Amino acid sequence: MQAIFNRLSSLKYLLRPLALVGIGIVLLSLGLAYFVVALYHTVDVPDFFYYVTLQFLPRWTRGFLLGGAGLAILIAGIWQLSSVVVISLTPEQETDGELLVGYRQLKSAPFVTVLSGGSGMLVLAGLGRDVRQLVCVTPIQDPVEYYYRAASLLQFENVIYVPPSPAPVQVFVELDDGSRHNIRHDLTHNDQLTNRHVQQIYLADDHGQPCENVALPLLRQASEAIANADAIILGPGSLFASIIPNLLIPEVREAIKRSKARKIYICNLMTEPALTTGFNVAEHIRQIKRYGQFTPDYVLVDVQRIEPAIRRLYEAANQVPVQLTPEEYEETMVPTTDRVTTRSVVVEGAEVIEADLASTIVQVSATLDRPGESRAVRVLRHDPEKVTGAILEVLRRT
Amino acid sequence: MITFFEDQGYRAFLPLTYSRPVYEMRCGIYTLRERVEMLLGTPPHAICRRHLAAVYGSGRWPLRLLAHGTPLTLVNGRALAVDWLPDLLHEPLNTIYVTEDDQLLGARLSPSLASAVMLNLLHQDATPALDELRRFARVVEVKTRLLVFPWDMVALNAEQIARDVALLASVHGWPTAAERPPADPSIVVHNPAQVYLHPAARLDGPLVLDARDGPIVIDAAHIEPFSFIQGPTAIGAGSLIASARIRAETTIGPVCRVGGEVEASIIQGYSNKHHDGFLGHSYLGEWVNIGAMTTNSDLKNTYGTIRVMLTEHGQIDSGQMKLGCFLADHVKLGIGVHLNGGAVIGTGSNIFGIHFAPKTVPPFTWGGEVFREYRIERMIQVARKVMSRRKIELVPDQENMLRDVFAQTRGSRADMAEPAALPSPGDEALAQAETYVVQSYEAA
Repeated sequence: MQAIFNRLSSLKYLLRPLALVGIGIVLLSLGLAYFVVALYHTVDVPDFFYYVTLQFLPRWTRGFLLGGAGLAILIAGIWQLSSVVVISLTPEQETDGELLVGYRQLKSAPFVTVLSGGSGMLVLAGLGRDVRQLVCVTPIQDPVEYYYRAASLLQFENVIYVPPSPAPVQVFVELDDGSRHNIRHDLTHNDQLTNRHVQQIYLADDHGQPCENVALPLLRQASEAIANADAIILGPGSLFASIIPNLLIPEVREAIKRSKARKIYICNLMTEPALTTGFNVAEHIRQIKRYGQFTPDYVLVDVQRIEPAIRRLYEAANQVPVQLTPEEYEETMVPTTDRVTTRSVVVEGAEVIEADLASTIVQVSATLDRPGESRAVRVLRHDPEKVTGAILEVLRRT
Repeated sequence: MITFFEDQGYRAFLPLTYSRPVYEMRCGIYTLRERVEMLLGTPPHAICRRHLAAVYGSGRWPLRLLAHGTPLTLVNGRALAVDWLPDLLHEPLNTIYVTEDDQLLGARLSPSLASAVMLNLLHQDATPALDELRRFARVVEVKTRLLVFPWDMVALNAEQIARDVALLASVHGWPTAAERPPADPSIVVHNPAQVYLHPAARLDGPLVLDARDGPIVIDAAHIEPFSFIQGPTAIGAGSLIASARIRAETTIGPVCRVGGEVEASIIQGYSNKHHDGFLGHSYLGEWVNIGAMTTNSDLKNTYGTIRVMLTEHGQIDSGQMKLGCFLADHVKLGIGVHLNGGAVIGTGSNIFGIHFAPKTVPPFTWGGEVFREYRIERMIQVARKVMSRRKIELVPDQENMLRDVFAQTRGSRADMAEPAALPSPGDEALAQAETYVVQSYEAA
């Protein structure tokens, strides 16, 4: 009932014109009726006129029939008119004293949920400008205030950060050499682990003991954000430190599986020492399928040519680009209409979209030991504008 | 970190709360914000409606509230007494306080749990927030009350003044008239132990301060001769009491000019009721001006309860036998206007040239016999002039806030006469009324 009232209340600005139109139609109908009656009394009309004017029915019945039909049509008309709701076309920029009236229904912006962490989460914060709501579900092991601190410095709006659960949980990885590490420890800069990759990842207590059977009640904000999203974006961010930890929580996995949102995975630009050494695009997707038990609908992969000098820098750190190679994908052709056929690149069941997603930036860093000695390094990073543009393009065309 | 939040209850205070959050409404000596700041010594933060956030809150999207690893202490903006707040600050992390009627009063939360309800609070929706907090936090029921309707402020003002006096005495330690009696022998003080005088308060006798029924608190104000002040009453800094009769249960905020007779009313601050005329059981916002001989009724001839038209609820029986008017911020009333009990005048309206004002006047309306929409440019122009006469600048954030309120309330003026395209005799009358208002705020 409230929904009906709300919809009809949008017509309140049209009450006067609607009343005038109504009065006009009544007067017009009366005038027309006089002409028809005069014509009927002065001209011999054909026999079928008897049936057309329903003269075989008593006058009361005819009145009720026409009145009822007219009322039904009137209600249907008003109902349809209320869907062409009168709105301000630019609600944020209203001018002085003038009612802005438009006859276009605003298409509602999408509701987007991001599962990521680290600096990758901040890459997507600009998306808040273009969506109805942006909820970022932070990795279970990270303190949420880190994200609020960074976001408040950058003055993001329409973005909210929420952990999946308030319960304190750690995330441990077992590498291919059998060693176990807390994911929050900086493994990527451990020279002894450079050539390693993750064999297993699990939730653990503070001592590293697996806690598979511990119930982790989801915060409603997180579960509703996943359930109601138009798109769930995984990444950009470290596969094992930012994306997969939340997929280890059964409730998160179930919520993602139940959600009708499009799942978009933003693949890493480079492999990460000690975590994803040797992983190609397909292996990244396989890890998501393994722990998340779902296949992303789309995977965004960077296609940009990397400058040789930067490539050498990364190679020195045992990192190589994660880009699509011909041997790992299959190409499908999907006829969308009789004349148009869409070519898609599919890897592990996910449609891969190659796009320019990255930019080279100069990163200045210093160590705690020698804070005065900063070092400038050229690095490759996901570009917020490019990534946001690519996501919006995927949302627009799907 | 103390952070106020507005819940859905702010709607019941519309139109008074279009231009200020609930926690910025005065009841007792202080607003809730002032009270908590006095109690704890640090300015609180606030989550409020977006159009008010730049003026009264911690920004439109206050992410920085959760940027620290420290616990977040939430306080409902409709709270009146805050004697429970020190206890909450010592509770274990993730404890919530609820009122007896099961509303979220306060909470001490970790950043992660606070983030779970942040979005609800940004939308002033405390019910789902409370549901969520119940799942993860310890719940403590507290016997205190939240303000529910605008007339609660008037009805509870006396007891809140008494509570605030205790806070004032402990924080500021102003001397009472018993400790430091006024030098002027023509100043008659009844029960001087309950009369608290700021050292800079200027009392010009002859006058009577009668604290037999409750405390009188006079900040650095000026009380002119032949005034009669009856407690419980509080008079704010920079105010002028112009030979007025201030009866019990009255609060006059800072920088007001008050004459005539005032009873059981709250004047938020920076408002004028300089001349004769009666104001009783009423609430006045900031920058309100009441012309000479303008009077309100606060009792029906039938001694029945008074009905009030609230934006959120429509017409509602207040249950109060004595109730005056509610004037929102920037309301101007001309000379000789009479107001019925329960009258509500919306933000920025300018009423003149009429004997009896309607019981409900939408925000940004001007006129008397015929009401028209008060163009926002013109209203802001007057507000700027009025405020400058008190050496206060109308900053861009305040101006934007008023424009937002104007836009939000446009629907309430839909039935009004269209603003005249060409100057009309009515426009001249408005110009005269505006001039009168500006002049009444003579340079401080």
